[in-house]
Amino acid sequence: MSGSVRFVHAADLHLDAPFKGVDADDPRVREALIAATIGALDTLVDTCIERRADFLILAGDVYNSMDAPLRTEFAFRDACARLDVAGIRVFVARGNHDPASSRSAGLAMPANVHVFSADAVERVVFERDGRPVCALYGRSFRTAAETANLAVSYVRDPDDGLAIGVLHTNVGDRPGHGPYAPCSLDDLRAAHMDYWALGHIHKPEVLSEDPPIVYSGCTQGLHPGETGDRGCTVVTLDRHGATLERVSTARVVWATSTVSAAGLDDVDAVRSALLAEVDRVARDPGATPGTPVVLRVDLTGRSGAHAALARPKALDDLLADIRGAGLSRDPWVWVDRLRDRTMPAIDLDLVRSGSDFAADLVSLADSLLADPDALGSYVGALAQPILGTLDSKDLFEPDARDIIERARDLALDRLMAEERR
Amino acid sequence: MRLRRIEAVRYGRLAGATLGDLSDHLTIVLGPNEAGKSTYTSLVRHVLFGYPTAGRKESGYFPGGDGRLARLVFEDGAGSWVVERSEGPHGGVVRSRALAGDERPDLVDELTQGVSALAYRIVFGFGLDEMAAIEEQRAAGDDVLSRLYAASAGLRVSPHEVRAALEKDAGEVYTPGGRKRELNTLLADLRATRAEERALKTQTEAYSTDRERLALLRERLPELRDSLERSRSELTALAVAVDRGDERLAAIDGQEESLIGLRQERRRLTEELDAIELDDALLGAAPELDALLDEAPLFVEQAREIVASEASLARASARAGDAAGRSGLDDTALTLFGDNHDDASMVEETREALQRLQLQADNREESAARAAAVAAQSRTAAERLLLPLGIVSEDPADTIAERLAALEALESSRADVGGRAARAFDIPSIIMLVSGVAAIGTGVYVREWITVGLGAVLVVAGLWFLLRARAGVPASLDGDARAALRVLGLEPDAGTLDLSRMRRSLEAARIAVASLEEAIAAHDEAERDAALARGALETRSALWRSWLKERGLSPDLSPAGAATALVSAREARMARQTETELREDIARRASALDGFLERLATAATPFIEVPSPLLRDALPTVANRLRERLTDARALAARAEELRREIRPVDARIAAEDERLEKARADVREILERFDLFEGGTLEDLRVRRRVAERDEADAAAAFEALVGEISALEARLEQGAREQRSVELSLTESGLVERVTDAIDRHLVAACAARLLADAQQRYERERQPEVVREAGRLFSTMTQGRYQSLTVPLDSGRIEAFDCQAAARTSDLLSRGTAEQLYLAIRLGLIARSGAVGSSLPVLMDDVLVNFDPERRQGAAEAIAQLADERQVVFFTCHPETARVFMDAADRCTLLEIGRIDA
Repeated sequence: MSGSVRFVHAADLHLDAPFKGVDADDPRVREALIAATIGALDTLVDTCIERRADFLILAGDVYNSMDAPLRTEFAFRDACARLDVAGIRVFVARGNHDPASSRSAGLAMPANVHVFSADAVERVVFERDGRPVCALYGRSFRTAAETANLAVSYVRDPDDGLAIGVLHTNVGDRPGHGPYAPCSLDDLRAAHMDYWALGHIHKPEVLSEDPPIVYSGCTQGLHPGETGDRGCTVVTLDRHGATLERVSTARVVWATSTVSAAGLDDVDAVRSALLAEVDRVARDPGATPGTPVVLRVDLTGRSGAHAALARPKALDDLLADIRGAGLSRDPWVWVDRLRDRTMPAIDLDLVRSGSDFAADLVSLADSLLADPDALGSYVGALAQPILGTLDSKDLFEPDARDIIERARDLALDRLMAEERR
Repeated sequence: MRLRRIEAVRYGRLAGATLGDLSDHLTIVLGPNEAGKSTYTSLVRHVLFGYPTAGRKESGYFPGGDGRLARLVFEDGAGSWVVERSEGPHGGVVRSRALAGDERPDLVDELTQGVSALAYRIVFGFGLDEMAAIEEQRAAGDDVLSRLYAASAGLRVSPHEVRAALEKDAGEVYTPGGRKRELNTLLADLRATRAEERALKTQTEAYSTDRERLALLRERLPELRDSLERSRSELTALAVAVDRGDERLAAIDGQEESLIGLRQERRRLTEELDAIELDDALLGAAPELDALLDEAPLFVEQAREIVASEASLARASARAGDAAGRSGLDDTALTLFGDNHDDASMVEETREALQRLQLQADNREESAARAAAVAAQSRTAAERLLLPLGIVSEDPADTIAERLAALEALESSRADVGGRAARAFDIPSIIMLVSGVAAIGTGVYVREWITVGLGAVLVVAGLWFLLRARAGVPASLDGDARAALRVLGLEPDAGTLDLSRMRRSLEAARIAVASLEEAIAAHDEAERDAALARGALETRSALWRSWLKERGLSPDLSPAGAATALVSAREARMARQTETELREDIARRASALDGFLERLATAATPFIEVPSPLLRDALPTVANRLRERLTDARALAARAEELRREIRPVDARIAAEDERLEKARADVREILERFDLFEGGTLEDLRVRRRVAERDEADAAAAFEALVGEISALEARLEQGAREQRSVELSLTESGLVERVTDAIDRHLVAACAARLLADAQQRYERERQPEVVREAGRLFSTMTQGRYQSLTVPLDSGRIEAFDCQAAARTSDLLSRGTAEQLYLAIRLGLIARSGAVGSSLPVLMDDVLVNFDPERRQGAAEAIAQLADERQVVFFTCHPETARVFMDAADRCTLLEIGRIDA
């Protein structure tokens, strides 16, 4: 068993995952978002073919749910069939979103697809021209709630010239991610693999250079929090080590921006600043040039435009205008959300030092902000009725501090607007 | 600090008007209508807070000419200052300067600190307009109290209004129990979207049966596929066996037929071989005969060449005789003449030499004849020149020389005489004369008398030589000249022209005589050359004749005839040589041919009939006959060998076919045994079993196809359902709606919290600051109403003021009469001012006839209340009613009355 291999490492395709937290009422944006995960799969297949990969590794969560829609299964089968025609094998490890217990339509996958066993670590030898080149070790999740340390059961065969480990896991028990198949870096190193192809963490990351222990990240950002580059890792592996190359596959890039309105006195100036930001993002949306962008923008800073922005519908009108401008860019930029986090151009300390009504108002807000319990009760009392109208799954915890600060600024701005004029 | 004067430089209808000095406490300004009372009230406010800008409803008080300009003069114990506002952008340009005391550039800010323009207008500087407006606003439901409240709180906008606006904003998003609010709409959309999603999910669930069926079918698929493959495998094996068995049987039949054919073929070949008789003696002698036959064509050719050579010999003999005849030589001469190269050279050289010498002699004789003709012509020409001169001597050249000498002498003497002839101008004499005159002039000029003398000498000499030249010397002939004329045959008076003519004649005659002498000499030379050429020709001819004689040839033979004889002799010799060579060759060939004929006859006689003797002409016939005999014998031998070669493979094929036949029979037995058909089994039994297997395979294939068809149909149906993206779109829509709901709730909470913060701040403000104001206003209101009303309260959140009368009965402000309501608001204003502390402490309170709707008693009370305020603050009260002025004068201890007149048009 000798030589070198070139393969593509991808994970967390989450095919047909519903996009959360996005308000896309433009048909073009909607279509792009709906087709994004499947489109990313197509790009992944294109990458395998263009780079003449020996095989493709999918380290878990190909599907977003245990009850994956048929269309998704068909799409995946078609993609594998394309790779089969190109003579590229596909090695799949199931993850917490698509464990072996998932309900499936039982579509017959092409012969080039191999799904790792959920019973034990499976060793598969990859051959080229009838000669073994490398061994792949992998294990699928049996159920979504796989909490055992699966990494410790990976043992490299001494005869393997090259060995690759495939696993869907949370290395180091990272917060914010499900505690699935937890393990440590030492557990992975102890298996003496030449390369670890991991899945589960959506942000691409190289945990170790020697041996390479790599999260390739998800192929398509699934919500506004998953900003920046999303794609796969093209790996060339031989006895001397591995060469890694990142390739973007995302069809839509998420981005967030903060635009300072400080020093901007009117909505026109704010609009210009927003358009400049849209242009900047359109030109440089991270590592994926030429890809449409869904952008979230927060307007910040003490600004003379605060009062104008706080007028009813003002922000909505501005957002509609910026959206139109963003959609005219190529590639388009969809401003998903525009939040006004500006503050009035008022010297709070000066107001606070006075003895008038405004000072009373600021003092009252200060006392609330200084007492988290009182703050929570104060906002909670107002939030309770309106939150009561929501379904349980829509419930959220309002940021009381943020709300009180903005409420204070809004009241002050309304009270003192005429004064300042 | 107090306002001392109000100066309107250019302000509305007031131009150059001044109001003052105002009292520190109460100043009553009494003036008729159109005296400018309201204008003064506005002026103070505008100087402090800015002129009205375009677009404001308020009057701008623009003067007729230049821009607005007004001043206020303030005083305190430290000095006095003027605050002036001139025309300019944004309400004009305000500046302050000191009239006495230190400069206070921030005086306006100090005066207005904590007081907005609105607050000033409502609380500090109000008039009938504001009072009427209050009533109008009341009628319109406006919250006058809140305005006063806001003004008192240092705010331009009423917290009530702001709170109401915020609550409205929040309410537009959500109101408990409210309908058609933004949130309700969004939630309704969200519910509808989710309902559709559920419906779609239910619909998707309907596919679950298909999916389960598909999974079940897929589980059965391998079993059926295995069954089908087994049936196909068995069928294939049977089919292969039957086919192979049939093939083997067919092969056996074919091989048996082939064996019969092969054996027949072998028999035929053997019989043919046995029938062939071979001539072994002939075949044994064949190499020797072949060698002779190979030589035969050569000798046939030689026989033909011998005949041709004999013909050539005859022609050569004829040519030799003919050439000898043409040469005219006998045999000896013929043999010798021309036998070497010298003869031919001699003949040729002689022929060329005689031709050349003959030509040379002819040319020279022709040249001699031409020279004789030239001499005769020269002689004639000389005589034609000499005769006129009278020269007939034998030696004319001497005579001509003599005459030319005489002519030379004569011309010399004539030249000496002709040199002294008279001349009209003598140039040296003239130069001498002019030089003398110039020397005289120069000497006189420079007073050099020696020069003058020399000049005179030159002038005299010049004149002498000039005159001498013009006179000339007469010519005369001497004796020698006359003798010369005689020699020449000329007259003594012969002139120069005659002499010249004589000279030309003599020169021409001399040249002609010289030419004649040369022509005679040339003619003599040509005659000598011609004689020499003729001698050479004679000599060379004699030599040729001598050579012919030596060769025994005729001496008359010319070189050309000798050359012809030479050629003929050569031809005769060459023909004789050829004749000899041909004879020798014929003899050699005839000898070889005869030998060959003998050898051939000896060898061929045992096998064919050969004539004896064998003549040259019979050679081709005998050779052909022998060759045919040999060919026939060899053909028979070749055929016999060919037959033997054909028999060998036939034998091998017969053996192989026997072996294959046995193997095919063994294969058939093996096929039958493989399917347990041992003894008695046939291929027909195998065919029966194949037909059964075909039916089984067809049944299995049909079952498999049916299953695959059902799977395909299910997949197609499921895929069709899967292609619909509605659920994904709904998911996206739901996401968007959730975002909007979250955003709406966020906005609602911010607005609601802002409103509540305002309310809480207002409560705190009212709780902690308002009671004093209300108590003071109640006291003032009681004073104004002569105790009719005792106190006031302002319940929190009511927006109404309650007045309690002396019976402790409460009446809200909206139930009071206009006059009483105005007294109430005046009381509140005064209360606010009284309790405003340091806020606006230096601002004057200006009231413009605000008591006009008060009855006398209330007016008295109000005047007392205002007088009380004036104890603490500077108050300026404008009125057009003298009665009102008197009431104030009575009510106040420190009151100043200023009267102003109507402004001129």
